[in-house]
Amino acid sequence: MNAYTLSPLLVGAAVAAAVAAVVLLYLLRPPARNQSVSSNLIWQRVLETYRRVSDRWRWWLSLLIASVACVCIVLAVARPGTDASAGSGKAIVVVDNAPTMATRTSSGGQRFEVAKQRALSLIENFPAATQVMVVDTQRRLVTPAFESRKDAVETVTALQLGQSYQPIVPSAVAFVPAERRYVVTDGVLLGAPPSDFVAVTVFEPANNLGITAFDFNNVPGDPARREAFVEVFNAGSEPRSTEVVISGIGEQRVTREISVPANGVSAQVFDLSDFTGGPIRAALTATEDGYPADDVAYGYLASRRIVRVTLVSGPGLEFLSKSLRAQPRVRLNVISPQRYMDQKVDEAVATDIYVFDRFVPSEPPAAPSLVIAAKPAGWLPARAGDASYPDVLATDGRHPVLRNLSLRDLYVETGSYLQPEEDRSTTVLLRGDEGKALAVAHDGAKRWVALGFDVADSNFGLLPAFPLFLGNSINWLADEPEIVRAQPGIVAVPFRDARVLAMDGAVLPVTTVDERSFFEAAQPGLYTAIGNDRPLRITVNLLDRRISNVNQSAVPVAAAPAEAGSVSAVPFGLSALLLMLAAGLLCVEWFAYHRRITV
Amino acid sequence: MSVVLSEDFLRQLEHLALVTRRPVAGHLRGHHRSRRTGVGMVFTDYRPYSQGDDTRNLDWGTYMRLDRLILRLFEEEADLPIYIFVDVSKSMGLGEPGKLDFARRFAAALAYVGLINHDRVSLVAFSDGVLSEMPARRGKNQMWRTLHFLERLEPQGGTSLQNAFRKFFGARRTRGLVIVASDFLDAAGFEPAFQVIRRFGHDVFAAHVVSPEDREPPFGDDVVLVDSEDGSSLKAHLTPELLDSYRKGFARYCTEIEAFCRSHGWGYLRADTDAPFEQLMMHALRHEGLLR
Repeated sequence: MNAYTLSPLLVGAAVAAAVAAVVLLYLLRPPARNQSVSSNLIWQRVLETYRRVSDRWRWWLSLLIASVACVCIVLAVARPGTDASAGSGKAIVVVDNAPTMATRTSSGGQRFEVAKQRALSLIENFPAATQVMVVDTQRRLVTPAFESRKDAVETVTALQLGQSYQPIVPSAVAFVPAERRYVVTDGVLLGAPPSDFVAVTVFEPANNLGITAFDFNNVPGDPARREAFVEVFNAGSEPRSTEVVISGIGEQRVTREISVPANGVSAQVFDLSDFTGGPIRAALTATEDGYPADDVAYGYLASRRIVRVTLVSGPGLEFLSKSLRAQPRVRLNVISPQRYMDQKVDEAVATDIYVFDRFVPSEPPAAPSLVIAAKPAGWLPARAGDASYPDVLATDGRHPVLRNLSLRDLYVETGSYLQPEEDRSTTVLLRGDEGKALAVAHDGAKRWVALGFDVADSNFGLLPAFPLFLGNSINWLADEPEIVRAQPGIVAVPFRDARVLAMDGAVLPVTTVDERSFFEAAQPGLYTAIGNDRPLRITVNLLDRRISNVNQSAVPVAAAPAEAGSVSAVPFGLSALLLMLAAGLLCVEWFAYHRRITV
Repeated sequence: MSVVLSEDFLRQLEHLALVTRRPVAGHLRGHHRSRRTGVGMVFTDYRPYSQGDDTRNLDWGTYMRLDRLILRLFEEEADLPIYIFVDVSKSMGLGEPGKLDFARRFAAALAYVGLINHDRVSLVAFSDGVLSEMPARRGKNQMWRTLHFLERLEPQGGTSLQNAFRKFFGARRTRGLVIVASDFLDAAGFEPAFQVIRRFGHDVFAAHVVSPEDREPPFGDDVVLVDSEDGSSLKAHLTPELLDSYRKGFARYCTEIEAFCRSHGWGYLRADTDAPFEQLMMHALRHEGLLR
């Protein structure tokens, strides 16, 4: 029986009725029977010395024990721990719709379905006049409000799983006055609920194998070879076997049978040298998997394995050639400016990227180029003045050239400001005093990146950001498709009005805010965002052991209620405590009665 | 109700006799020592011969030596007046086995012993006074009258030992053995009543008839204790402590009666009705000195 429907008034009435019934039963006890004795002579003597007043106390003691036991039973059934404020009118029910709630239970359904059932059971057991606010942890219910039980039931029924792996109990809910607060969750991603909420756990251990790492690397010393790293995590309590399948475009496919220890990982390296590049998919073929979403991961393997870079430089700046040579995939060729001027057309074709060090050709180069210490030329921005100890500021960290760079410590002694053309294809990367451009990137038919200062006249070459800057520049100039890694949920695309395509070619709805576009990646996959004339590859994967470990709940399993609609440990513990107290009192009464201590 | 005594038991009783610790004052010849001198077997004293004395008792040896006529005196053996009082108050009607039944059999057995020894046996049924009386009888052939008297007894009235004894001994009674079979549950107490008997110099044997219910009340919980004699009620919740107190109180009451009797040289027997009756008669009474 669930007595959530009892308001405090009803609970009080039930207690009063129970006590009244006990008193009545005591009063209705059969009258003392007449017992004929030979004589009262001795009885009278005995009773005169015996404290007769104790009889009354025994009666009261017995009545007290019986009444307290009865009250304990009534309160245990009425669950005062959760129903102390029953009937007061307002309740908040937070339903966790985090992705891990999709974990399958032993009954075959999802934890989320169980959670909805329990939330519905809670709501239906509230007093009829209760106003219920249904809140989800994914903010799908944008403006939750108090509503009738009937509407709340519909709200819960319509609730869907979210995609954010950072569910929260909205802090605003904490300031909403309500007498009863429940969180229905599995406790995996949401963690422990706030202290003023009663946790209704739907957690149930499940078997799960998941991919928690998927990446590509070149084999050191052999840029022509590439390999994939796959980490598989087993969240179950028993070792399990699975097959890892890595597939690419066409018939490219690698398969391996692996065994993963209980609560452990198995790290695997796959040789992808035969793969031509492009989208790559890693998948597990695990049976009875509780959470299938992490059984697949996507990546994008760069098509071009070797980038031919020609450094056009005079003597000096040895570290530049060394840094370029240290870049993966780079095959460096160093020539002098004179040699560049004299080279033939076929030689120019054999270069993918030019790096001009303190030398600027008068004509645009045949390949994308990085120009260091740019000087005025027809295809480069004009000079806008001298720069002397400027305060350097990176303008746009989202530009691929500046991604993951920290230029806070960049120190430039002298240089030249650039005067870029104001069009969409030109981006100012670094600015100096008065906002003048110190570095500019141009995204045109032939890309280029121009620095207005010499690396030797700054500490740029000494910064950790310098080789990254070179790498980013080479990647961008080489026109490799840019890859963005994200988790399922809302994904940001670093340009406006992007057109986002899913793997099946479906166009996803996109929202543009400021200079970025946002779309919702419902599940792991490979997405393509098109804008600025170039595609942006977006790999959406879980790849998080915290997510794959669906058996790590912040809500204790012991608190799991056995029935839908029931609440967690504290009220149940109190009910059990009350029942035990009642049983103890009844035992005391039984003992006392049979020992004639009570009447 | 018939008083059943088995044939074997009666045969055993025929070998017994009632005894008293003091000389009897019977007027008829019997088998008990009396204070009177006369014809008997037990030498008592000498006295000078007076004219008219039985010359058969002259001590001729003394006459030869002293030339004086000296008469030898002998204890005269007389019968024993036995007064058997049977309490027939309502309280005697309770108990399982019944106290009155027990008292009937007890009285019948002792009366039988007395009758066959040619003692004068009187039976008195009393409650708050003397209800009925069987005059003194002698001889075995009076046994049927005795039994008939006992069979007609029914529980009635309250208990007043003092009234009964006063009324009975108010008439002139030869001093003898008074046997009282009662539960002694007299609101006025047993002592005043016994003092009445003591005043007349009777030897007394108190048979305290106790039923198991008197000794160990079997009932529990809340009860209204109704006095079987006067109908007064007493409400009590019988706790183990209270029952224990009752047991102690009852034992104390029995001890008081016994102590009183012993202090006056009387016999006392606590006769539990659930004890084997024949064993009680053959062993307990002989041990108490009532039977020989």
